[in-house]
Amino acid sequence: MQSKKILTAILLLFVGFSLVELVLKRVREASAGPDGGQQTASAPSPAPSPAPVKAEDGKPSPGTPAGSEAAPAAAAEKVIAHYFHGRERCANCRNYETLSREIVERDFATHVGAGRLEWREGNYDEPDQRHFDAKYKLGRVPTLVLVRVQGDTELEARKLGDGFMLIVTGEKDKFTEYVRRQLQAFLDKKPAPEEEF
Amino acid sequence: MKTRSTSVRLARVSALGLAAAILAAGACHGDPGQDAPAKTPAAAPARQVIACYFHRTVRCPTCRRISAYIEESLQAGFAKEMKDDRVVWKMVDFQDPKNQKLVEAYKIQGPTLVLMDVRKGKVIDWKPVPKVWSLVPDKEAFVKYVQKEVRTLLEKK
Repeated sequence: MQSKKILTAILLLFVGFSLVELVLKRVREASAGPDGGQQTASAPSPAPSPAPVKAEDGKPSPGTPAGSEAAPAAAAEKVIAHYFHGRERCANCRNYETLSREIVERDFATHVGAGRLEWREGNYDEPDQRHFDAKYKLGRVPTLVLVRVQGDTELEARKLGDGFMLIVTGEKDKFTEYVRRQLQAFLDKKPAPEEEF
Repeated sequence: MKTRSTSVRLARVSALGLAAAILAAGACHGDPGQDAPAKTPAAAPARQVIACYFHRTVRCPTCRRISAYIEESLQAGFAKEMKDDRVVWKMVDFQDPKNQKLVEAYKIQGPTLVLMDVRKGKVIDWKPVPKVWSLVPDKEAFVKYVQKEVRTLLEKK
Protein backbone atom coordinates (compact mmCIF):
# COMPACT_ATOMS: atom_id res chain seq x y z
CA MET A 1 0.00 0.00 0.00
CA GLN A 2 2.78 2.33 1.01
CA SER A 3 4.74 1.50 -2.11
CA LYS A 4 1.65 2.03 -4.21
CA LYS A 5 1.27 5.53 -2.79
CA ILE A 6 4.94 6.28 -3.44
CA LEU A 7 4.67 5.03 -7.00
CA THR A 8 1.54 7.13 -7.58
CA ALA A 9 3.32 10.21 -6.21
CA ILE A 10 6.31 9.64 -8.46
CA LEU A 11 4.10 9.22 -11.50
CA LEU A 12 2.12 12.35 -10.65
CA LEU A 13 5.36 14.30 -10.20
CA PHE A 14 6.59 13.05 -13.58
CA VAL A 15 3.37 14.16 -15.28
CA GLY A 16 3.54 17.50 -13.50
CA PHE A 17 7.13 18.15 -14.59
CA SER A 18 6.27 17.20 -18.18
CA LEU A 19 3.36 19.62 -18.25
CA VAL A 20 5.47 22.44 -16.80
CA GLU A 21 8.17 21.83 -19.37
CA LEU A 22 5.65 21.86 -22.19
CA VAL A 23 4.19 25.17 -20.99
CA LEU A 24 7.65 26.74 -20.63
CA LYS A 25 8.59 25.63 -24.12
CA ARG A 26 5.49 27.27 -25.64
CA VAL A 27 6.14 30.48 -23.70
CA ARG A 28 9.75 30.62 -24.95
CA GLU A 29 8.66 30.17 -28.56
CA ALA A 30 5.96 32.83 -28.26
CA SER A 31 8.35 35.41 -26.76
CA ALA A 32 10.99 34.84 -29.50
CA GLY A 33 8.92 36.97 -31.97
CA PRO A 34 7.56 36.54 -35.56
CA ASP A 35 10.99 36.04 -37.12
CA GLY A 36 11.79 33.16 -34.93
CA GLY A 37 14.26 35.25 -32.93
CA GLN A 38 16.90 35.47 -35.67
CA GLN A 39 17.87 39.13 -35.09
CA THR A 40 21.22 39.58 -33.50
CA ALA A 41 23.24 42.54 -32.48
CA SER A 42 26.39 41.15 -33.97
CA ALA A 43 27.91 41.97 -37.34
CA PRO A 44 25.89 40.96 -40.40
CA SER A 45 26.14 37.27 -41.24
CA PRO A 46 24.96 35.05 -44.06
CA ALA A 47 21.26 34.14 -44.16
CA PRO A 48 20.35 32.86 -40.70
CA SER A 49 19.26 29.25 -40.31
CA PRO A 50 16.03 28.40 -38.50
CA ALA A 51 16.18 27.95 -34.72
CA PRO A 52 16.66 24.31 -33.74
CA VAL A 53 13.58 22.75 -32.24
CA LYS A 54 14.93 19.36 -31.37
CA ALA A 55 17.17 18.20 -28.57
CA GLU A 56 20.80 17.63 -29.44
CA ASP A 57 20.31 13.94 -30.08
CA GLY A 58 17.77 14.83 -32.75
CA LYS A 59 14.89 13.26 -30.82
CA PRO A 60 11.93 15.25 -29.62
CA SER A 61 12.31 16.67 -26.13
CA PRO A 62 11.02 14.45 -23.33
CA GLY A 63 7.40 15.07 -22.62
CA THR A 64 6.74 16.66 -26.00
CA PRO A 65 3.74 14.91 -27.47
CA ALA A 66 4.52 13.26 -30.79
CA GLY A 67 3.75 15.43 -33.85
CA SER A 68 3.67 18.69 -31.95
CA GLU A 69 7.20 19.95 -32.83
CA ALA A 70 7.24 23.67 -33.85
CA ALA A 71 7.90 24.34 -37.59
CA PRO A 72 11.36 25.83 -38.31
CA ALA A 73 11.21 29.65 -38.24
CA ALA A 74 11.50 31.33 -41.70
CA ALA A 75 14.80 33.13 -42.47
CA ALA A 76 14.61 36.85 -41.74
CA GLU A 77 14.50 39.34 -44.57
CA LYS A 78 17.38 41.71 -44.97
CA VAL A 79 18.44 44.43 -47.39
CA ILE A 80 21.76 44.37 -49.15
CA ALA A 81 23.15 47.69 -50.39
CA HIS A 82 25.19 46.30 -53.25
CA TYR A 83 27.60 48.61 -55.06
CA PHE A 84 28.70 47.38 -58.46
CA HIS A 85 31.69 48.70 -60.37
CA GLY A 86 34.01 47.62 -63.16
CA ARG A 87 37.67 46.75 -63.23
CA GLU A 88 38.70 50.19 -64.47
CA ARG A 89 37.82 52.66 -61.78
CA CYS A 90 37.97 56.44 -61.94
CA ALA A 91 37.84 58.89 -59.03
CA ASN A 92 34.06 59.26 -59.42
CA CYS A 93 33.52 55.54 -59.08
CA ARG A 94 35.63 55.39 -55.92
CA ASN A 95 33.86 58.43 -54.47
CA TYR A 96 30.51 56.84 -55.18
CA GLU A 97 31.52 53.75 -53.24
CA THR A 98 33.06 55.65 -50.32
CA LEU A 99 30.10 58.00 -49.90
CA SER A 100 27.48 55.28 -50.27
CA ARG A 101 29.18 53.05 -47.77
CA GLU A 102 29.50 55.92 -45.30
CA ILE A 103 25.80 56.67 -45.60
CA VAL A 104 24.81 53.05 -45.11
CA GLU A 105 27.08 52.37 -42.16
CA ARG A 106 26.69 55.73 -40.43
CA ASP A 107 23.10 56.82 -41.10
CA PHE A 108 21.61 53.34 -40.93
CA ALA A 109 23.88 51.92 -38.22
CA THR A 110 20.95 50.52 -36.24
CA HIS A 111 19.76 48.48 -39.19
CA VAL A 112 23.29 47.30 -39.92
CA GLY A 113 23.88 46.34 -36.30
CA ALA A 114 20.63 44.37 -36.20
CA GLY A 115 21.56 42.45 -39.31
CA ARG A 116 18.72 43.99 -41.35
CA LEU A 117 21.06 45.86 -43.69
CA GLU A 118 24.38 44.86 -45.17
CA TRP A 119 26.93 46.57 -47.41
CA ARG A 120 28.47 44.67 -50.31
CA GLU A 121 30.56 45.63 -53.30
CA GLY A 122 30.89 43.70 -56.53
CA ASN A 123 32.77 43.87 -59.82
CA TYR A 124 30.67 43.25 -62.92
CA ASP A 125 33.84 42.60 -64.93
CA GLU A 126 34.61 39.51 -62.84
CA PRO A 127 33.43 36.32 -64.58
CA ASP A 128 31.37 35.14 -61.60
CA GLN A 129 29.62 38.52 -61.27
CA ARG A 130 29.13 39.42 -64.90
CA HIS A 131 25.52 38.28 -64.79
CA PHE A 132 24.61 41.12 -62.41
CA ASP A 133 25.15 43.63 -65.22
CA ALA A 134 22.30 42.18 -67.30
CA LYS A 135 20.20 41.24 -64.28
CA TYR A 136 20.08 44.77 -62.88
CA LYS A 137 20.49 46.54 -66.25
CA LEU A 138 23.59 48.35 -65.06
CA GLY A 139 24.88 49.07 -68.56
CA ARG A 140 28.35 48.65 -67.07
CA VAL A 141 27.94 51.88 -65.15
CA PRO A 142 28.94 51.95 -61.46
CA THR A 143 25.64 51.69 -59.60
CA LEU A 144 24.24 51.12 -56.14
CA VAL A 145 21.51 48.48 -56.13
CA LEU A 146 19.27 47.78 -53.12
CA VAL A 147 18.29 44.12 -52.86
CA ARG A 148 15.84 42.56 -50.43
CA VAL A 149 16.58 38.92 -49.68
CA GLN A 150 15.15 36.21 -47.50
CA GLY A 151 17.71 33.53 -47.00
CA ASP A 152 19.02 32.81 -50.47
CA THR A 153 15.93 34.12 -52.23
CA GLU A 154 15.90 37.55 -53.76
CA LEU A 155 12.54 39.22 -53.21
CA GLU A 156 13.02 42.64 -54.75
CA ALA A 157 15.72 44.88 -56.22
CA ARG A 158 15.87 48.60 -56.83
CA LYS A 159 18.59 50.35 -58.80
CA LEU A 160 19.66 53.88 -57.83
CA GLY A 161 20.15 55.01 -61.40
CA ASP A 162 20.82 58.70 -60.70
CA GLY A 163 23.65 58.16 -58.23
CA PHE A 164 26.52 58.36 -60.67
CA MET A 165 25.17 61.54 -62.25
CA LEU A 166 25.10 63.29 -58.86
CA ILE A 167 28.62 62.14 -58.09
CA VAL A 168 29.96 63.27 -61.46
CA THR A 169 28.37 66.72 -61.11
CA GLY A 170 29.89 67.11 -57.64
CA GLU A 171 26.53 67.36 -55.89
CA LYS A 172 27.52 65.56 -52.73
CA ASP A 173 24.65 66.89 -50.59
CA LYS A 174 22.05 65.96 -53.20
CA PHE A 175 23.66 62.56 -53.55
CA THR A 176 23.57 61.96 -49.79
CA GLU A 177 19.91 62.93 -49.57
CA TYR A 178 19.08 60.81 -52.60
CA VAL A 179 20.67 57.67 -51.19
CA ARG A 180 19.18 58.22 -47.73
CA ARG A 181 15.70 58.82 -49.13
CA GLN A 182 15.75 55.83 -51.46
CA LEU A 183 17.26 53.48 -48.88
CA GLN A 184 14.80 54.49 -46.18
CA ALA A 185 11.87 53.94 -48.56
CA PHE A 186 13.23 50.54 -49.52
CA LEU A 187 13.71 49.50 -45.91
CA ASP A 188 10.15 50.63 -45.17
CA LYS A 189 8.90 48.67 -48.21
CA LYS A 190 7.54 51.84 -49.78
CA PRO A 191 7.63 52.74 -53.50
CA ALA A 192 10.71 54.57 -54.73
CA PRO A 193 10.28 58.33 -54.15
CA GLU A 194 10.07 60.37 -57.34
CA GLU A 195 13.24 62.29 -57.96
CA GLU A 196 13.70 65.48 -59.97
CA PHE A 197 17.25 66.26 -61.00
CA MET B 1 17.91 93.15 -58.27
CA LYS B 2 20.01 95.81 -60.09
CA THR B 3 23.16 94.00 -58.95
CA ARG B 4 21.73 90.68 -60.18
CA SER B 5 20.88 91.97 -63.67
CA THR B 6 24.38 93.50 -63.95
CA SER B 7 25.90 90.13 -63.04
CA VAL B 8 23.74 88.40 -65.61
CA ARG B 9 24.82 90.89 -68.29
CA LEU B 10 28.47 90.39 -67.37
CA ALA B 11 28.03 86.62 -67.52
CA ARG B 12 26.46 86.90 -70.96
CA VAL B 13 29.25 89.11 -72.27
CA SER B 14 31.79 86.61 -70.97
CA ALA B 15 29.88 83.77 -72.55
CA LEU B 16 29.92 85.64 -75.87
CA GLY B 17 33.68 85.75 -75.79
CA LEU B 18 33.87 82.14 -74.72
CA ALA B 19 31.60 80.98 -77.53
CA ALA B 20 33.91 82.72 -79.97
CA ALA B 21 36.87 81.04 -78.28
CA ILE B 22 35.26 77.63 -78.56
CA LEU B 23 34.42 78.09 -82.21
CA ALA B 24 37.81 79.49 -83.11
CA ALA B 25 39.82 76.91 -81.18
CA GLY B 26 37.87 73.94 -82.43
CA ALA B 27 37.77 70.79 -80.33
CA CYS B 28 40.45 70.36 -77.70
CA HIS B 29 40.59 66.61 -77.44
CA GLY B 30 41.83 64.61 -74.52
CA ASP B 31 42.01 61.39 -76.48
CA PRO B 32 44.32 60.84 -79.44
CA GLY B 33 42.93 59.60 -82.70
CA GLN B 34 39.70 61.63 -82.60
CA ASP B 35 38.27 63.10 -85.81
CA ALA B 36 39.56 66.51 -86.81
CA PRO B 37 37.38 69.38 -85.65
CA ALA B 38 34.89 70.84 -88.11
CA LYS B 39 36.11 73.85 -90.08
CA THR B 40 34.80 77.14 -88.82
CA PRO B 41 32.73 78.59 -91.68
CA ALA B 42 33.58 82.05 -92.98
CA ALA B 43 30.12 83.25 -91.98
CA ALA B 44 28.54 81.39 -89.04
CA PRO B 45 24.86 80.51 -89.40
CA ALA B 46 22.40 82.92 -87.75
CA ARG B 47 21.78 80.39 -85.07
CA GLN B 48 23.66 77.37 -83.85
CA VAL B 49 23.51 74.84 -81.10
CA ILE B 50 26.90 73.81 -79.78
CA ALA B 51 26.94 70.46 -77.97
CA CYS B 52 30.11 70.63 -75.92
CA TYR B 53 31.24 67.66 -73.84
CA PHE B 54 33.66 68.52 -71.08
CA HIS B 55 35.81 65.58 -70.00
CA ARG B 56 38.85 64.73 -67.91
CA THR B 57 42.27 64.14 -69.45
CA VAL B 58 42.22 60.48 -68.44
CA ARG B 59 38.84 59.04 -69.26
CA CYS B 60 37.00 56.08 -67.79
CA PRO B 61 35.05 53.65 -70.02
CA THR B 62 31.72 55.24 -69.10
CA CYS B 63 32.93 58.71 -70.03
CA ARG B 64 34.21 57.45 -73.37
CA ARG B 65 30.92 55.71 -74.01
CA ILE B 66 28.96 58.87 -73.22
CA SER B 67 30.85 60.99 -75.73
CA ALA B 68 30.48 58.26 -78.36
CA TYR B 69 26.73 58.09 -77.74
CA ILE B 70 26.36 61.88 -77.89
CA GLU B 71 28.18 62.02 -81.20
CA GLU B 72 26.00 59.20 -82.55
CA SER B 73 22.86 60.96 -81.35
CA LEU B 74 23.82 64.16 -83.12
CA GLN B 75 24.84 62.49 -86.34
CA ALA B 76 21.69 60.38 -86.42
CA GLY B 77 19.31 63.21 -85.57
CA PHE B 78 20.99 66.28 -87.10
CA ALA B 79 23.10 65.15 -90.03
CA LYS B 80 21.96 68.05 -92.21
CA GLU B 81 22.33 70.61 -89.45
CA MET B 82 25.82 69.34 -88.64
CA LYS B 83 26.82 69.63 -92.28
CA ASP B 84 25.93 73.30 -92.38
CA ASP B 85 27.20 73.95 -88.85
CA ARG B 86 23.84 74.68 -87.30
CA VAL B 87 24.65 71.91 -84.85
CA VAL B 88 28.26 71.73 -83.75
CA TRP B 89 29.92 68.95 -81.73
CA LYS B 90 32.84 69.83 -79.49
CA MET B 91 34.87 68.09 -76.82
CA VAL B 92 36.90 69.97 -74.22
CA ASP B 93 39.39 68.61 -71.71
CA PHE B 94 38.42 70.59 -68.62
CA GLN B 95 41.64 69.62 -66.85
CA ASP B 96 43.74 71.30 -69.52
CA PRO B 97 44.87 74.66 -68.08
CA LYS B 98 44.22 76.45 -71.37
CA ASN B 99 40.50 75.65 -70.99
CA GLN B 100 40.15 77.03 -67.48
CA LYS B 101 38.11 80.06 -68.52
CA LEU B 102 35.57 77.82 -70.14
CA VAL B 103 35.47 75.65 -67.02
CA GLU B 104 34.77 78.68 -64.84
CA ALA B 105 32.20 80.16 -67.18
CA TYR B 106 30.21 76.95 -67.48
CA LYS B 107 30.77 75.90 -63.85
CA ILE B 108 32.23 72.55 -64.81
CA GLN B 109 32.78 70.19 -61.88
CA GLY B 110 32.93 66.91 -63.69
CA PRO B 111 32.41 65.36 -67.11
CA THR B 112 29.33 67.13 -68.46
CA LEU B 113 27.51 67.79 -71.68
CA VAL B 114 26.67 71.48 -72.11
CA LEU B 115 24.33 72.72 -74.83
CA MET B 116 24.79 76.32 -75.98
CA ASP B 117 22.24 78.41 -77.83
CA VAL B 118 24.25 80.63 -80.15
CA ARG B 119 22.71 83.52 -82.14
CA LYS B 120 24.87 85.48 -84.57
CA GLY B 121 27.98 84.20 -82.84
CA LYS B 122 26.81 85.04 -79.30
CA VAL B 123 25.88 82.50 -76.65
CA ILE B 124 22.54 83.74 -75.42
CA ASP B 125 21.78 80.72 -73.26
CA TRP B 126 23.33 77.46 -72.16
CA LYS B 127 22.35 74.48 -70.10
CA PRO B 128 24.17 71.51 -68.59
CA VAL B 129 22.69 68.14 -69.49
CA PRO B 130 23.98 65.80 -66.74
CA LYS B 131 21.14 63.30 -67.13
CA VAL B 132 23.22 61.61 -69.83
CA TRP B 133 25.04 59.86 -66.96
CA SER B 134 21.81 58.27 -65.74
CA LEU B 135 20.75 57.21 -69.23
CA VAL B 136 23.94 55.46 -70.34
CA PRO B 137 22.56 51.97 -69.54
CA ASP B 138 19.64 52.60 -71.94
CA LYS B 139 21.11 53.75 -75.24
CA GLU B 140 17.75 54.28 -76.92
CA ALA B 141 16.58 56.55 -74.10
CA PHE B 142 19.95 58.31 -74.14
CA VAL B 143 19.77 59.11 -77.86
CA LYS B 144 16.14 60.28 -77.62
CA TYR B 145 16.99 62.53 -74.69
CA VAL B 146 20.00 64.21 -76.30
CA GLN B 147 18.15 64.71 -79.57
CA LYS B 148 15.15 66.18 -77.76
CA GLU B 149 17.33 68.62 -75.83
CA VAL B 150 19.15 69.76 -78.94
CA ARG B 151 15.92 70.07 -80.95
CA THR B 152 14.35 72.16 -78.18
CA LEU B 153 17.21 74.62 -78.38
CA LEU B 154 17.21 74.67 -82.18
CA GLU B 155 13.49 75.41 -82.28
CA LYS B 156 13.53 77.88 -79.42
CA LYS B 157 12.34 81.33 -80.43
